[in-house]
Amino acid sequence: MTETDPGAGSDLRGTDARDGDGADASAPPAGDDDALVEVRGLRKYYYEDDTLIDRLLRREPTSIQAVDGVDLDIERGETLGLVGESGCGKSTTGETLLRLRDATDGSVRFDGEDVLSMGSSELRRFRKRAQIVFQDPFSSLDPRMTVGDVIAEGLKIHDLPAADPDVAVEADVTVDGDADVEVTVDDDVDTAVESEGGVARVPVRVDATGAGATGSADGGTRADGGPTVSFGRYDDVLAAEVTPRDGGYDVHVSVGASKRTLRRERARTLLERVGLSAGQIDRYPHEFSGGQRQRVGIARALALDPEFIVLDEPVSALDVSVQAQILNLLDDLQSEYGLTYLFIAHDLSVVRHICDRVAVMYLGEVVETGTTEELFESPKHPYTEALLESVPRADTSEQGRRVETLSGDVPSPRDPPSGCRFRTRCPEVIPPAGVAVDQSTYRSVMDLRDRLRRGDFGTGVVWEAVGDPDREDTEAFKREVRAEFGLDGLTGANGDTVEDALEVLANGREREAAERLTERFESVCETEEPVLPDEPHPAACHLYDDERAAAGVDDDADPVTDPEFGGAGMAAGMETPDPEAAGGELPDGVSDPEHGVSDGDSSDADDADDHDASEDDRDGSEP
Amino acid sequence: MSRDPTDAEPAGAPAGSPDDVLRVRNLTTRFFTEEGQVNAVEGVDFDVRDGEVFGIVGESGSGKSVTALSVIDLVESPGRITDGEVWYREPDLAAEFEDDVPAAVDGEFVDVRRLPEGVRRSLRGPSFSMIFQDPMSSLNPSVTVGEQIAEAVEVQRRASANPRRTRSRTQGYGLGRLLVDTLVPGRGYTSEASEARAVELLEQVGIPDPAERADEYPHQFSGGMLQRAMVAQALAGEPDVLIADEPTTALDVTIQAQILNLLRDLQAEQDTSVVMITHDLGVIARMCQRVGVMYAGQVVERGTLADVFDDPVHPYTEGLLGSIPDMDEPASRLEPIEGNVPSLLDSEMGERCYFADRCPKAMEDCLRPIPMYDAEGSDEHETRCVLAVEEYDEAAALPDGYFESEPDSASESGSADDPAAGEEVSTGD
Amino acid sequence: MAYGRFLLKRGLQGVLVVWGVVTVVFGLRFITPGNPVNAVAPLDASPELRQRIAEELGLNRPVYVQYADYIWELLHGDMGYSYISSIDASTIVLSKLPATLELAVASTVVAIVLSIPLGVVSATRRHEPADYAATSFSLVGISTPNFWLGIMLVLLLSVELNLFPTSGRAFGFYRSFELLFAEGVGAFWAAITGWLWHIALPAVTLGTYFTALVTRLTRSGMLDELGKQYVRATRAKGLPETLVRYRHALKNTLIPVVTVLGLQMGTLIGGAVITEAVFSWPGLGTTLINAINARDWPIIQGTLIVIGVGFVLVNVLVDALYAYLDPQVVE
Repeated sequence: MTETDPGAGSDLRGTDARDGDGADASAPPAGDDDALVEVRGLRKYYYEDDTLIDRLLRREPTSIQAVDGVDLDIERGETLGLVGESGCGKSTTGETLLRLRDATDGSVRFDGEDVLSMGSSELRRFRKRAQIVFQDPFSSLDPRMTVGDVIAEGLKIHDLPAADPDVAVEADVTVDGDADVEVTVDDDVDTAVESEGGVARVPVRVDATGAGATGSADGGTRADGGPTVSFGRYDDVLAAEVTPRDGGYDVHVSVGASKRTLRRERARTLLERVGLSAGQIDRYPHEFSGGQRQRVGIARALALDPEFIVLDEPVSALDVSVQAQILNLLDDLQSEYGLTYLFIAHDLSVVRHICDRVAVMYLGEVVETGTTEELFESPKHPYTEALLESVPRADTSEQGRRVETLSGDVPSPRDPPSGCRFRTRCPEVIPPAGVAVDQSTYRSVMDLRDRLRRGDFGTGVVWEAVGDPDREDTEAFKREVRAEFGLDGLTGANGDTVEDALEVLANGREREAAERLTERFESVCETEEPVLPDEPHPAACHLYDDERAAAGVDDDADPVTDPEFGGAGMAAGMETPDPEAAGGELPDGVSDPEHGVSDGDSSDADDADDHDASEDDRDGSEP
Repeated sequence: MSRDPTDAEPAGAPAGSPDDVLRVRNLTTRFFTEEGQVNAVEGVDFDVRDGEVFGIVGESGSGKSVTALSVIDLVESPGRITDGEVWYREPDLAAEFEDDVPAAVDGEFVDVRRLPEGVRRSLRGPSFSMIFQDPMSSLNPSVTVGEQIAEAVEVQRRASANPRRTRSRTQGYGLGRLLVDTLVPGRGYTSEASEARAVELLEQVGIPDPAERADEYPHQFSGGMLQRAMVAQALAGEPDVLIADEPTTALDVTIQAQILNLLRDLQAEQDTSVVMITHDLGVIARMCQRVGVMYAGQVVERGTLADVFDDPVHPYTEGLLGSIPDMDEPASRLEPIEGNVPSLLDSEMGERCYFADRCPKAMEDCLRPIPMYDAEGSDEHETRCVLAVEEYDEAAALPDGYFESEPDSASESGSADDPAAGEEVSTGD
Repeated sequence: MAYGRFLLKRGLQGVLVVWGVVTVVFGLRFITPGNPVNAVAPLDASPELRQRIAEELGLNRPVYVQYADYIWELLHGDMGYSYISSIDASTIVLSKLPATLELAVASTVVAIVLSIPLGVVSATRRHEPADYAATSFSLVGISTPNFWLGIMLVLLLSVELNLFPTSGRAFGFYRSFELLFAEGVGAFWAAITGWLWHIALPAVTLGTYFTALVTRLTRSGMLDELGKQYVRATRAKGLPETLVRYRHALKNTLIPVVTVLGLQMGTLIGGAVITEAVFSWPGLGTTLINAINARDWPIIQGTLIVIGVGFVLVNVLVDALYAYLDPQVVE
């Protein structure tokens, strides 16, 4: 009994026509060190008040700076988490990165190619390599298409499946019975058969034991009792032509189904792969639960065999138990297909679980990036700390945990705060050098200044509260303002300045009062926008300026950082004396006896403690 | 020892701890839809103590929201509360109805379900109030926030001034009065006093510039601010019990922390009891002292925080705890609960433990309706699972695929349309 | 102040639209086949008359000059002279305007008075007999051709029962007030009641179709609103049901309904031709048709412009009202 060598006779590189898409434009370039996705200075602004009539009325268009200068690197095979709260621009970043929205500025390089300036055919090819899964499983699937159609739609658009010249096709032949069988396989059979490691193996079973069997068009046979050919699970899509010859048979295997059928098959396979049953291929989205619809969304993203998937809050709308199933699925798919993920989320515990590295966004900017462990164990940016602090832990110890919450709301992206955008809520704003004051008082002064600057102060209201419509009793006025803003207990130069400013304010001169306060109390956080430096665990925060200056890092020279960075201003804005040790210095005022006196509030002591503790942490995590 | 919820109607208020303010027994709510009867809530028992925060945790389809609505009598057609008692401790009310409806009164407790509808309605606001998940859709977008809070204040004012009136069919304010008030300028349901109080309340919940914000519309508020306003509205009536249905799910995590702190502070200040309904176990851990876990319309485990988190008995509770990614100690792989939420259609629910088809420890003994058993831990710890009294026995385990033929919500067209399942979790990002 | 800005924007847009209408109407004279002079002149005009007309129309001047002239004259209220009717176009057109407005407003009032209560009843007593009655009425109303209805009403109520006059307008609303000052209260009262009697049937006829539409809108809008979360929350705070339904749900329902009502009213300014015909109501619709039949161009153009301006005005007012009622629109 001769058994045909499975390798022999298979057509490795057929002379069949190649699909034009197989051209080299998408061939991977050399260099593993290049990140798969490189984003630099990405900006997306939305403009309002921009119509003709507004121009006639001479209104300035207001811009909403949804994404304002984002730099990201995503390495091949990793999962980068992008976290932030609503309005921080993370979803917009994900979509703009894929060019699902038009960027206002910046660059995105995918595998070395510039995405934002691609022409339409390059863009098509790009879309096959980079996909997206959306947040809302209810609205991201067209309710009038069956799930099979939804999944196969991408294939249809790109005219897939297409023969891939890089994929070798081999037949695994088993012959029952006595016959010399030679099997040839068309090169485009890889459209019907899944390939692994660059090879598509076609299981071919030739039953030459005689006896006339009836056969169908595929796996067909001859009425005179010739051999039966079957392909296992590929029976529906492959066809065999058996030609007898001297001493045996030639079996020629070709694709026996239309592209439409092939696409359906692929959809079925994908449904199974994401944990649904292939029999549901003709059902409509409304017949599925949220978790199942999200699986369909994932299957759709996988259909084109992408390398990179943006997952925009894929589990936020799901129940906890379903969420766990989906996360596990995503994990498995990543290992199986070698995928790279950008995982956008607001749920930190999920991010911790699934991501390798994380970037934290606030109001359109990235404020900190690092490995998951670095970020969660030793967060640097005060916002990251606040985020981590706020998440409730599912543990009995949570009962006694004291949570320091951030005050206020996220500022409007139409009018972001000057300098560091987080400064209006930051529990660690930096007072200028020489000004010794504790955080809560400093914050009060800052709030007062902000209100005055915005013209939001409401002098009239204060006078009303005092009960003096004639506005004569300036002492009462000052007391009222002090009480409202928590400005009692300031001594020394600080106290004098505040007193002055309040006096001026009592006389109705808001702007002057603001200026007086600004003179003394202006923080570097207001004047300088902190940048994300190019180092392993960067945080965009002035608290670390000392360290970097001490370590001699010259941010100016770094081509990667935000070009908007006012390097010269960094020294000018800060009046800090020479840092003695590398980053070991506490900001002025924390050890000042004044803070203990201010309003006797226990939170002051806590602030100091937090400062000490976190300062120590920073010391400890110093590279 | 088990307390079988299918016991004959007990006479008088059920036993409980002395400082209970609310005792719910055997609450059952059904929805009579075109597709059949949906058993949204089935035989639910729980107690809420004075000044405590009681948590109800469950996922979509567990019946937690419908339970809340049932307590406050807001279940709308095609739904109806078909059974159960809601014993509320209110001595004045008890005294009032002692003679008229003796079966509804026992000492200081009153079974509100047996009181006339008008009385039940009048309890909303002054006795019970509720805050909902998405603040933006829980307020009328074309009425100012201050006005809406003032309405809540006014309800309380009128109820205490003239209780009988507010129990009438029109609640003391019918179409006639409305027409008069609309046509005559300067008159309305709310008064200056109630508007002033509304501003006070806004200040109490930490909204800056309350007087100005009161004249603004809901869309001018941020999510966090609006939820604070909702809390203000809910507390306007100085209720005894505040029911919070996923109050922070639609909010960002830093804002959530603020709101939870606020709730805790206010609750302590005013000694209000809170029923905190959520799917987030972290929130439960932060806020609640006692917890009930719901699944498929039933309470499947109940106890103190430590009972449920550290010594869970019911495999669903265990599964729930195992599927949460832990922020502080990430496990390499999550242990999700296999399968899908069951269908709540009466015709499809078997006479068995409803979790059996997904349970890794299902045994033959689970194929009957399971009562609540006492479990180890505190005195409060109870669970609706045979594992409280039996060891898991492989030999008696149900074979894999035992429930394959039964329909679940996955293969049915229905879980999305289920009126009771309007509790699909959604975040408002 | 944002509201003021909003109004200004809408107003400017309205002006732009009116300008567009005027331009198109102006262009019509060049689009119609034949000599514009022939269009304007009566068939039996003498050559001198034709010459004069040609000069008047400025046909010997460049187009843009003619255009500028046309606009200029319009701004002064001059719509041209109709040789066929021997009267200034503006006189005729503007004299028909009050009647048209009366009918439009009266029909709208009838519609409001009927449909909103019907819609509310229908929504709040869903699946009860009242609901079915109201819905049936809507269906009948929307399906009945209004000329049939008008004629039937006339036959029944005017001819058979003699309750209402069969046609005409009597003195008209505006003129009744003139009579008040000229001849005293008695005359005024007689005139005004006469007018009411005359307008009743046409208004009901026209209003009925309208009613059906608005009832359905109100009903579905109300059902929508009543199912919303804020209604549930408002009930949860203990507010009396009356207030929940009317002060909250109905108010929000009416916002889009008001828009529809307004727009419908706008279409009535030139679109009530059939009703006008049945009742011999001297409105713009009839004027337009007659002018078209007589190929009386100045009147056609004048009527079109007035209808256009009226419609735009109504639209702007509706926008203003909507923005006033719904605070979210202005932001």
